[in-house]
Formats: sequence, structure tokens, C-alpha cells
Amino acid sequence: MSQLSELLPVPDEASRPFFDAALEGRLLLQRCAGCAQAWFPFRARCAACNQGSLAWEVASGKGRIYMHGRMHQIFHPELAEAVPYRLAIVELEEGVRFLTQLVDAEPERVRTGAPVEVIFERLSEQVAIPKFRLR
Amino acid sequence: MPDPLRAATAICGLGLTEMGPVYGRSATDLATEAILLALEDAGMQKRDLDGLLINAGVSGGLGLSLASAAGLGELGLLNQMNSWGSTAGAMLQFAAMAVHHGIANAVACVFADAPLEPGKSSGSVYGALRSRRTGMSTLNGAYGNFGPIPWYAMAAQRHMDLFGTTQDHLGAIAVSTRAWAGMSPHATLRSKLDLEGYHASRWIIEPFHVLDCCLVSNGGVAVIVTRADRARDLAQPPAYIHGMGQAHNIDPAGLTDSAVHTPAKHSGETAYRMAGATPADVTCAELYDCYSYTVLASLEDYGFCKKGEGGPFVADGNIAPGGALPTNTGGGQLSGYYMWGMTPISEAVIQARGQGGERQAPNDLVLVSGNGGLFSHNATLLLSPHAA
Repeated sequence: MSQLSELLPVPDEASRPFFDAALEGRLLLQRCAGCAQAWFPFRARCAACNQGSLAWEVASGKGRIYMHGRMHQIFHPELAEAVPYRLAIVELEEGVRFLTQLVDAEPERVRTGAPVEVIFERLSEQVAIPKFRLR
Repeated sequence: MPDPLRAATAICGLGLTEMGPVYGRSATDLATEAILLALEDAGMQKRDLDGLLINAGVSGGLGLSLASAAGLGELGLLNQMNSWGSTAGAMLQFAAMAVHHGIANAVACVFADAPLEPGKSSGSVYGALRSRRTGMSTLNGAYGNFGPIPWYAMAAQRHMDLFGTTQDHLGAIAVSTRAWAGMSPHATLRSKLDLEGYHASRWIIEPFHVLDCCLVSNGGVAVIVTRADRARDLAQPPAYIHGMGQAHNIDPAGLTDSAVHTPAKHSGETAYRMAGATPADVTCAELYDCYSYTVLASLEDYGFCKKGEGGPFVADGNIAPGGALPTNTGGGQLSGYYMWGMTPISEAVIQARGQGGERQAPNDLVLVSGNGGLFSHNATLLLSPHAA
């Protein structure tokens, strides 16, 4: 369990399926039934074809680092122990980008294009969040 | 045949309030003062102004009611606009089109903000902006992703990984910008800075030191746009608008390499076309430097060097005092003052007028760039002291 309290994510109705799946170790994205475009984060209507209905889909959880950085600044007191931590935007195999934290990352291997996979970190009884590690 | 908008309009007035950690004044009050200063600068009366475009920052309170707070009369044009850091440039473009077509005669474009409070760190002002308390966006807090800094830092790291850009290259921008700031009476940070001092400054998020990040400032800036023939009869040398362009990269699915390829490319091409100019004609550049890296990416996308070669370009001293392309000659947002898109515009007006004093750069064609929204929005202006 983490030290987060104020920074604990709070699911709302729209994001409930995502957070419920994360508790079970699955990463959800959306895919348009009309044009097959994958989406993250979630939306009410496909922004590509503007038509199709969007359905949840379990993502591969595999991708590559699109970009990354190592945070030193303590932007919130609950992160005082966490710095420095690595942020990244990961491009999933499905083609969507996902902002996340990288964990267990050996510095010399953290590079744009490096292959990563999802893991899930339990933050509380109710909340788990996807993070990524090098694979 | 040249574009009918080329040099058809000009900036005739510039008003800068005190800027920096100046406390106790609202954004509306600062905006009002900036407008009055711009009118005085232009040699105009308040009744001469019949248009107002407003760009509010983050502190709130600045809106359409500014027109009545400032006691303006009947207006032919009034709006509050937002495309983040490109807003100011965009406002000038809409103002230019309005005066060219007779919708208004003289339009004030104003930015003002007062996010700083005594005892509050400037990082917390933008870092603490969290739009929602529930839903997917609350993941950001759990990841420790606050404000725009992480995105731009990671974008810089991608540029480094792809092209071999180095920390020294980013540092060269901070150092050069500070050297310019030392010659500007408006700049907040004017002490000498070398690469060693840059490397010694604390990390915010690698690869950004604190000196890769802009200041946060309280203050206001206004400029007045009018027709070129009117501007010639006013108090200041006109800064003619030779070219303008915008580009907005709408990429909901994240399909473009938006961290490296910015909308400055398309925005710049549109502006060059209107001005009948090429990058080689630009003698001085005022680029939106919310971070050191945005300068690097902008230099490439405006065609001053090839994509990926921005690092060596700045390390060779091109943008520094004495360089081939004097850039951010007022100290930019890194060392000068953070008035969003009005930072590069205000310095460009000073340069185009030839009023830069010891920091005056060759001013035949001054490129001004505003970008914002994580490289989503860009506005370009090409200014010149020449009427044609």
C-alpha cells in the first residue's frame, strides 16, 4: 500500500470500469466498433469517425517508451518519499499513448523506444493503478 | 501579387507594467494600466480605441468586464480569447484582420496575470492546477504528474534520445537568454550565468533544471494594432506586420510525433508566404520559451536549422549576443518576464522600432512565435520597421 491519501485516484462513473479492471490486473482501453480506432483516455464518442459506439477492450499491456523524464521536484507532500521517480508516456501496441510511472527501471536501459510492460500497483483497498516496467 | 495583408497593419503602441514579484494588484488593474500605457506610448487617446481583445492568465478575474473597468467607450470589437501560449499572437492577427477590413480602427490586445502571492512558490502556481477531483485525470496525482513541466521535459528527453541533443545544448539556451536579459531593463533575472551555473542549478524533472523553466510573473502587457497608414501618423515608429500564421495540431489519438514536430512549422510557412520571406530573411527571433526546449524545437521548425540539429545550432552561439540569429533578446520568459505570448511580442516591438539600446539586434525582419497547450497551438508574426 502507498502513502497516498489526497492523491489517491477517485473513480467516477465513466472511469469505474477502468479502475475495476485495474484492481483485477487488467488494463482497459476503448475501441470504436465503427472504425476500430483505439482510444485512451476515454471519450463518449469516437473522435475519428464520430459515429461508432465505443467498447472496452483489454489492452496487451505491452508497448514502448515514447518519452520519459526523472522527477525530482516535490509537487505534493505525499510524494516527498517518492522522488526521484520516473514518468513516461508509453505507446501501447494498440497505438494509444498512456502517461504513467516507470518502476524498477535501470537507468542505462531507460530510453526512448525501450520495450515496457504493465504492472499494477495497489494503492488502497479500492484503488490499483497501472505502472510500467522495462521488459 | 503580394498578399493584401502584408504590411497593411502595424503595431503602434506598447504598454508594459511593472512585472515580476509585484504584489497586491489584480489582473484587471494591471491590464488597465497596460492599455493606458500603450495608448500614451502611441500618442493616442482612450476615445481612439474601438477594439479590445483579452488574454487572461491563470489567476482569474480578467474578462470582458475589463472594457468597463478601463472605462472604454463603444467598441467595434471585443472578445476574450484562448489558445494558451499562442493567444497573444492570435489576438494580434484577428486585430490586424479587423482593422484591415474596417471592423475597428485601433484594437488593444492585452494580457495580464497576477498568480504570484507572497510566500507562495512560483512552481506551485502552475503545478497545483488540477482540473478535476474525480475520474481518469486523478491518475495524474498518483503518478506525480503536475502541470505542463513533465510533458515538455519528457519531450526534450525524446529529442535528446533521437538526435543526440545534450544537456549542454539546453544549457546554451538558458545561458544565452540570460546574457540578453542582462541588457534589458525589463528583465527579472539579470545576473551572469554560465554553463557551470546552469548545471549546478537544481533539477525539476530531468532533463530540466530549474533554469530550463520560465519564470512566473505578475504584470500586464498591451499592444495596439491599427492600419499602417494610421500608424505612420502616431508617436512611435510603426512595427509593420508583414506576415502571420497559425497552426493547431489536433491529435486526439496521439498519432503524431508531437513532442518533436511542433505546429511552428506550418504556422511559420503561412507567415513566410504572406511576407514573401524565407527563414534566411529573418534577422532576429523572439520565440516562446516557457522552457529551453521549446526554443530548440521552434528554431528547427521555423527552418533556421534542420530537425534534430537545434542543439549544435545553439551551442555554436547563433542565438546569443553577436550570433547570426539573435534570439529572445529581452531575456525571454526564462530570464525576462512571463507574460505568455506577450513576452516575445513586446520584445519584438521594441526590436522592430530600433529601441533595443545595447541589446538592439538587426531588425529588418523579426520573427515572433507563441506556442502552447503542449505544442498543440502556435501563432507566428513577422514584424519589420519597413513599410514594404
